[in-house]
Amino acid sequence: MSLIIFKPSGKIEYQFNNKIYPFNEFISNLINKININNLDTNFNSTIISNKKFYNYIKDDIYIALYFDSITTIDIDKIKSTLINIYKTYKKFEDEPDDKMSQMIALQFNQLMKLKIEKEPIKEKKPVKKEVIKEVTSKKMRKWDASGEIIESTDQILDFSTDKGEREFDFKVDDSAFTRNNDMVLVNELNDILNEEEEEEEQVKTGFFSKVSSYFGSSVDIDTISKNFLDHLISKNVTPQVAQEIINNMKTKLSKTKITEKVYKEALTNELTKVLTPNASLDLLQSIKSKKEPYVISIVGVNGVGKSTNLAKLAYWLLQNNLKVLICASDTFRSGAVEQLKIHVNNLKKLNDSIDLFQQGYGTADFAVQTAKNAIKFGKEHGYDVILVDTAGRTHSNTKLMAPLKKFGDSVNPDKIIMVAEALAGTDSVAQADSFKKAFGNNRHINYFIVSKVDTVGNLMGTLINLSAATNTSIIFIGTGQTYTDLKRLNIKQVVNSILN
Amino acid sequence: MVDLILISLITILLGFILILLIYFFQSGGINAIKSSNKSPYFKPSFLILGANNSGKTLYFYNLQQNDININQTISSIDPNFKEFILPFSNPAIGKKFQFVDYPGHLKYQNLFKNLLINDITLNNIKGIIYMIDSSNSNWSDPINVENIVKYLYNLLSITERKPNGVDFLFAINKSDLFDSLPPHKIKKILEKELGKLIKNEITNVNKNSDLDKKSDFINNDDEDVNNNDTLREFWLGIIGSSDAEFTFDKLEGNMDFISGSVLKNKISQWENWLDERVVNSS
Ligand SMILES: Nc1nc2c(ncn2[C@@H]2O[C@H](COP(=O)(O)OP(=O)(O)OP(=O)(O)O)[C@@H](O)[C@H]2O)c(=O)[nH]1
Ligand SMILES: Nc1nc2c(ncn2[C@@H]2O[C@H](COP(=O)(O)OP(=O)(O)OP(=O)(O)O)[C@@H](O)[C@H]2O)c(=O)[nH]1
Ligand SMILES: [Mg+2]
Ligand SMILES: [Mg+2]
Repeated sequence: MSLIIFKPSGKIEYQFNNKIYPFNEFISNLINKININNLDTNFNSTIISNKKFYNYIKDDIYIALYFDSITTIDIDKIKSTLINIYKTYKKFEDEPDDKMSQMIALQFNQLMKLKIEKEPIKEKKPVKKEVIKEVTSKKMRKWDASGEIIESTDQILDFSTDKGEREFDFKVDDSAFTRNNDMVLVNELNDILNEEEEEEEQVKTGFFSKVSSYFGSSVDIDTISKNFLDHLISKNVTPQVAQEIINNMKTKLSKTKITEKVYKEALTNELTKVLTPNASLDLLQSIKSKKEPYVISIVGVNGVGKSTNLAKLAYWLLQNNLKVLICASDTFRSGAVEQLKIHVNNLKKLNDSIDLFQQGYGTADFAVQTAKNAIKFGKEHGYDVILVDTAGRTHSNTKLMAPLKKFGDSVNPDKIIMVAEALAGTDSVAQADSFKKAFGNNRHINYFIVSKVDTVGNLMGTLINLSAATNTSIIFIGTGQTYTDLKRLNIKQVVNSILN
Repeated sequence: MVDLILISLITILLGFILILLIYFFQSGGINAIKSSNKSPYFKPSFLILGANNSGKTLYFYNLQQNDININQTISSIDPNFKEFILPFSNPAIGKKFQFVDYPGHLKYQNLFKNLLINDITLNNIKGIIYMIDSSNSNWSDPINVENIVKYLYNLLSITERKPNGVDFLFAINKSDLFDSLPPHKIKKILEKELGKLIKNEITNVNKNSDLDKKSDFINNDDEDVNNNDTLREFWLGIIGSSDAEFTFDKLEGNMDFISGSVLKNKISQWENWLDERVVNSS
């Protein structure tokens, strides 16, 4: 277990011990939004290789800790400890010294003690309230220098600051203080934590804030946030994703007033980041560096454009002098094989290095068998790429989704590309989530192709939704019904059209 | 009578304007309006770049001699900017240069490119320190190698379009580690891997699909970088012919490989390199 305080620059302001390396991976997850669980606007958690991380962010200061995920500590206690540590740090910010380190270590140790006493309380709201009541009805405790609890009725030990809740029930025992057996230290810590938070700046309202915003001067950040939230939603970004982005902005900007121009610039950067892939999109390179046929399967919901965009992919690969085999593994929908046949015949007229592998119609198992045979055939005949079309399936239908796992395991494609419609709006994330999970733990969707982008005009929210919620890159977008209508994502253009 | 109404009207108007003015100055005043077109980062600059965990930030903080010794950093979430006076060896005759430590996360690629091309601008780049973790454990992971090479490839695709290119210092860091690879070895690997990427780019003669005109990094919208040259023509121009091999000498910018260790404070040769750029350019 460990705790650090750091700045976004990478500078460490405090470290509890030297076990800080795991935090690098945590930061990487934070940036790539992998498995980050937002517990509150500036409080999140994640689990990475059996370590449980918690992180509290305020005013460009990050306070993060981890411990073995088998141990459980009440989340509210973790949060209030992190807030208290933040306050302690703030007090000494200008010249951090040993005393600060001791105080922070004291609080961290105190928290870690709780993990041994098994906390049975898991449910949230109702139980928590009871606990609070119980604590407040007790006499208030205060530490003294020897670690004894002094009970006092007159003074309330208000450790948590945010909502005036008193939930930090210190169960003090002597051992926590043997090293810090210092009356002054403990008293001082109590003082720091009891200090009233400064009054927030008065928020400008009404006429003048409007007038001043015309002049490009600062406006209340909540007002701007709300405006941009609505704006994002109007462009088809789902409310949850939009809210999350706006919350990130708030944490990041950590100001109460801001000009619209600055806010918009920051939001442009945020959306750019969301859309920037965090893996190489160089499919050609991967194909060329594999000796055997490179197998790509295309999956997705019914009618999203799997077969059409598979044909566009084939066209592009042919242009790059690759020998392409199309495998008709949609053995379910009638006409699916014939549809591919038409595409292959069309493409053959342009370039002869493409063929169709098909064995007719059948069950899900038959589809797997067809793909396996296609791969065998492809190996024997020196194809560079095999594009495997699959049957469309409704993501909410578990009967149809279940065979995907088997398909992935036995066909073992090099890449799985999911086609999603730009039109799908809110549903796109749910679709992507179920397809991601469908392949089991060892395999996942590598890329998206977002189809039908030509039909949504400026409402390109789906692109944001998919990137923000799934951490999978968009490799191409489909922009029409001809073979050349497959494009790379122009991030700048998308961000501009969403924000304007 | 008329005068009185007029006067009171004017008074009200003046009062109103006054209130507006006071308010306006209180809430940021001229500074809030003045939107200069030039970016605040438009300055002569050295960039410290490279993959995650290579040691950029630790180096950045150790450039600041007056700072208390920092020997631990964590992966950066934001870039660092600071001006230093160079040459280090003789600050008295020195000038200010902006140093930028940009985090290595792939997610930041587009933002970085934006900063480089539109904010700092290519003409202001006096040199790039490409930081490399030389440990064998780093180089034995193909994903890490791919990241290092791709990033470099994308960078060179931009900087080599500048007349005379941009000088690179390959700061072969962490030489204190027992499994640290020597600079010549790393140079060889980079040469070979870059060569592969370039070969890939230029062997595709018949490409006429829109998809292939530009790389991931250079989108269709960077008018200022693209000079109408496709990436293929650009690299072909550098290596000479389609069956020639890539070597670092073929680049316009100087490419120096120097080992060092930020942790053990063995960075004087890198400082010399910086000093040379400054002295030569003035
Ligand atoms: N405008 C537009 N239409 C598209 C695009 N991609 C696909 N379509 C159309 O969407 C319809 C369905 O495409 P298919 O390729 O048959 O979809 P599918 O996912 O294979 O469908 P199933 O196999 O039935 O699940 C066709 O009419 C396509 O022409 C696109 O990018 N833009
Ligand atoms: N052994 C050794 N470790 C070093 C050296 N230089 C840096 N490190 C360590 O390498 C780790 C990464 O250094 P940073 O400077 O934070 O890396 P960075 O390049 O800024 O990484 P990002 O911000 O993620 O892009 C830190 O733990 C440093 O202490 C060195 O010369 N030797
Ligand atoms: Mg189909
Ligand atoms: Mg860094």
